[in-house]
Amino acid sequence: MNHYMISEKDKLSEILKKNIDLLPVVYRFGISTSVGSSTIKEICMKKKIETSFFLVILNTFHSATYFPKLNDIDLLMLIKFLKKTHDFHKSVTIPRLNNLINDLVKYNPDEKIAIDVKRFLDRYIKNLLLHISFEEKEIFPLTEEKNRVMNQGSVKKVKALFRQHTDVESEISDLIIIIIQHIPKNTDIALIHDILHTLSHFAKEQADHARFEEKILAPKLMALLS
Amino acid sequence: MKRIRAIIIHPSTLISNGLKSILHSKNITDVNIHLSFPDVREIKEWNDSIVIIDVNYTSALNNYFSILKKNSNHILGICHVEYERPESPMFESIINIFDDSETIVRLVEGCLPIDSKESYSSELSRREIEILKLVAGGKSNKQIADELFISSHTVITHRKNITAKLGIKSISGLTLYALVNNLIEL
Repeated sequence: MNHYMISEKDKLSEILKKNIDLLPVVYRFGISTSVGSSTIKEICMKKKIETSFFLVILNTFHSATYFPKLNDIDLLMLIKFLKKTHDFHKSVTIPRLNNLINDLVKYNPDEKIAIDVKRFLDRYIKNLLLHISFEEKEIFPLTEEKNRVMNQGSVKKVKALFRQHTDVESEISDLIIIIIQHIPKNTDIALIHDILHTLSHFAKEQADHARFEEKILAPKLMALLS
Repeated sequence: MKRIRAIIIHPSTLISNGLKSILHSKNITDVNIHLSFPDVREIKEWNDSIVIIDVNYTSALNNYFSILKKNSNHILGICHVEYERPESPMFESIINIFDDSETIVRLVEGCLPIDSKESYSSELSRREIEILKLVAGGKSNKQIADELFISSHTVITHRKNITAKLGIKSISGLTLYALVNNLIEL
């Protein structure tokens, strides 16, 4: 478990070496891998990124025990980051998962589990895209004053977030368990490993994403709505 | 199929023997009757049995519940008021004296694990598999309770046990598990 607190003096390349799963997170800020040996502070200044916000995001994804205080986060910056996360999943994670599962079906045509898993994932992705659309159309606009109406409808929308998050997270976790329990005979174990690794990483990202929305975004929105 | 052993604890000779007779007709022949709670030394000897108890003995059952469960016994209740099945976390199912013999046997057999070496679902009991299929079919706890003649509380307990055994929480996950294990078809 990671407990190290990332600071602006750290070289980003060293941090990424410690935890390569931070690479897609860093990418969402428009930072590519050609970071050289620059410190986080130097990179943020060059890319015009708010350093404290960048560190909050990195530390949240890096350490399970770290979570920022409500007042430390700028709401509009958070929304922008969450939207970038959605875009990343739509353009990178989901196509990658689809390709891997399609390969599972292609190379195991006689295995019923491959078809069942593909059907499950198709339905999961459809629900996930509906959830993303719900957040972007119904929740994120509440940060703009013109969209904010103090009524039970807006409050219910924010509360609905929590229910949807639970479903999204537990379904991917269940899929991982079922694949592990029922790995097809004579299958390409490297492919299974890729699938499970991608799903596990995605599950963790979803959990961290949900934490931001439930512990920071939702309370800030409820405060604005009251 | 694994031999089923049943123990009936009921003060009525008529009800106990009637139940024994129904179980015998369905080849459950190892059945012992006690008109009152036996000595704890005897209760400690019961293993992997189905213990069917008059629900009026619930407070006495409290004293022996942990011993019975520790020895992997399944506990069912017998109630006497038509259309009632009192809720209690101690009973896996409740037999009503107005139930027909098919229902009674189904409730008794529902406690037992499936005797299959090949199926991945052999870790679940028959009752748990029944409930899993109904959950995967989109039924609510209340609908499942009504269909199986058990309480909603018992359905919830079984669902928690299913999640604990399989490690699967969501309804979609349980549905996928049921599909993969050929418990349901699309």
